Amino acid sequence: MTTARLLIDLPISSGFELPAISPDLLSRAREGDRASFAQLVELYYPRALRFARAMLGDHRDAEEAVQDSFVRVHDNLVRFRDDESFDPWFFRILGNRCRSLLAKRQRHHAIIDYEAVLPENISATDPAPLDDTFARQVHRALADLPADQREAFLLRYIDDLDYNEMSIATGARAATLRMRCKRALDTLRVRLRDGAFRE
Amino acid sequence: MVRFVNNRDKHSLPSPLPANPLRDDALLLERVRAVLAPMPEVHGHAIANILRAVAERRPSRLERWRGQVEFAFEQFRFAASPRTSVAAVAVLCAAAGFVARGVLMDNAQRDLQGLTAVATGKPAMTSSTVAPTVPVQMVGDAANRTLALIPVQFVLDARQTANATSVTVVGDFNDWSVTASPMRRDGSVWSLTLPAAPGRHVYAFVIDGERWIADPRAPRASDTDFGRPGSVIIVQSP
Repeated sequence: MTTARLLIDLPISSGFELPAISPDLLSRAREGDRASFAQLVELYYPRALRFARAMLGDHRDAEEAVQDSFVRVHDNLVRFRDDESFDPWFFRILGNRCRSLLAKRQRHHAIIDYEAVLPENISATDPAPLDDTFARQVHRALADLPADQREAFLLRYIDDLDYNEMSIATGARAATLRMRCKRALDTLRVRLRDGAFRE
Repeated sequence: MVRFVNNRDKHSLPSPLPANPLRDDALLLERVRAVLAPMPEVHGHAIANILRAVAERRPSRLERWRGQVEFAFEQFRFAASPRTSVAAVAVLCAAAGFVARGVLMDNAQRDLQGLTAVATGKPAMTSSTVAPTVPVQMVGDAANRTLALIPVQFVLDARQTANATSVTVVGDFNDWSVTASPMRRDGSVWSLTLPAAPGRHVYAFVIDGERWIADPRAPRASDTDFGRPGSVIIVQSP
């Protein structure tokens, strides 16, 4: 049976719940049912875009990575086994695409303008940040993290994957991922301390 | 003035609380997630683009193969453990080494077969202590590319055979067949040219189908079969 997670529980979230996915949706999509695949895209697109945008810091690159990922999901869905969890498999593909784009950027020595990811520049229709100054600091601090720490932090604390799922998604061992999360948290704590605890 | 929030005792404590890492991290995470967790606005055209890209996807076999290779490469590149990566690289290097070795050896073999070399007056290789008296001639056969055999000429002085009516060559190269390789008499010499693989061979002459003699002018073989006399020839690549 497909063990795709039906709901992401964000214990300290602001109530951003994920839509449910029916158990046999993946099976039908795998069998070539376009409506099921479309439903799958609708369900996972927001999470994918959120993750890719935080990883890449650029909305256009994020959209490209997400689109490529869904095409790869479509092409390789036949290989997805029912006894696997879909989230790690999906984030593995998406993470790979993001890393490919990051590596491509580094090869071309692209200068990333992180101002572009600041809240007011993300999208005119995005929800307004709770605290504009603090949101700026969060995005900037996140962008300054090493990519592996950023990925681990996002998967653990934003997409709420457990370490086993993260291990599948990244290929790194659970202990390594714990260390990455800890280091990311340490960095964010230092960078955001004033903003987080001051009102 | 700095004011602390999310503090149960904030109304009773006029000064900041002592640091509490667990509480601070929870509060930090809560606020960071409040920034990062909201779902971005999704435009319908973005999803439509994906569905269109998938629907219009009619990859050729080459494109499909290329996509699968890219997919597998990404999986390996980003998700394989270091140990797996090292093992895979080692396997690839070993495979490349075997392929290169095969190519190089094949080229060397072709070069060998393509050569036309003639060594007259001496056998291909004999013991340095016993000078061979049997002239052995090697003639490279460029047309015979499927067999890496070197033609070897066996010569026997007819005076050694008295009134023989037939002389044959037997050896490990013809499975010691008495009838397989008859020599021809040309005046005072019996001779025959046979293809032999490079290496050491043991041979003998059989006179009239019965009497085995070693080549009187070649090194004697110490490992003759069935106690019969034999000689040694070492055929060397030209």
